[in-house]
Amino acid sequence: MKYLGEKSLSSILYGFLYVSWYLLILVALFIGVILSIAMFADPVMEPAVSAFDKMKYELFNEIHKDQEAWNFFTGAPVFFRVMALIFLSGATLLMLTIIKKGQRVFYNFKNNIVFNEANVLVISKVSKLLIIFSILTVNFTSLLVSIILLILTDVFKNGTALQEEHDLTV
Amino acid sequence: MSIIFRLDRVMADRKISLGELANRVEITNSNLSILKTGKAKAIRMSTLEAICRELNCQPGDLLEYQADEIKEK
Repeated sequence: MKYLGEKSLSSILYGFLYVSWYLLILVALFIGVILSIAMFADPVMEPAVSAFDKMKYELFNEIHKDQEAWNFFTGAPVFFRVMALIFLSGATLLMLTIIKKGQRVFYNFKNNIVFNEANVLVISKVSKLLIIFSILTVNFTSLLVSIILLILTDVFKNGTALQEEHDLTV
Repeated sequence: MSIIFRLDRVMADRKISLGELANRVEITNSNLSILKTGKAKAIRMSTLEAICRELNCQPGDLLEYQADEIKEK
């Protein structure tokens, strides 16, 4: 299987990241709206006349299934709930940035541009962002991936130097 | 860089154009341009040999060493 160039693993990954970027935006918007309604709107006790109230009622019923967790969350001060929303938005934004940067790397790989300064810079940024993401979400797997990416950055740096030397050898 | 490639001077002496020399040496114009402008990091022995053959000169005519200026603290 081809890893670089047209119709390769890189082009498939580029396509996957391209689609997942838009999907993540849609999912984040959807969850954001639902969470905001559920967290800050007044609960509706019985199906009301308007469609919005009906939706809110169903949503509350759905969320209230896990009564204990929901009580803990709604019982928390407003500041905590706002901070939770900010935290979720921050993590989503971070994920979106990482996906966008990954897209750029795989786009370059797709076009057979492997060892160049731009890729080194992007991979280095992705690894640093992934470290922040793994700390925020307490995710050991992404921390491991970010460390591997950090090492890979150095490999790419050396590769870029060798590529430059090769290109400038006449 | 301390080593300067004096290709432009020798080419002017022999009255040969960049394109013609590139054709004779069988390297691309852009590569010869890299050599001429001093951007090259290394030169293959085969390329140096071909340039010397076509320009009828010695490697010493093409390469020149200039000591770097020592920066004062």
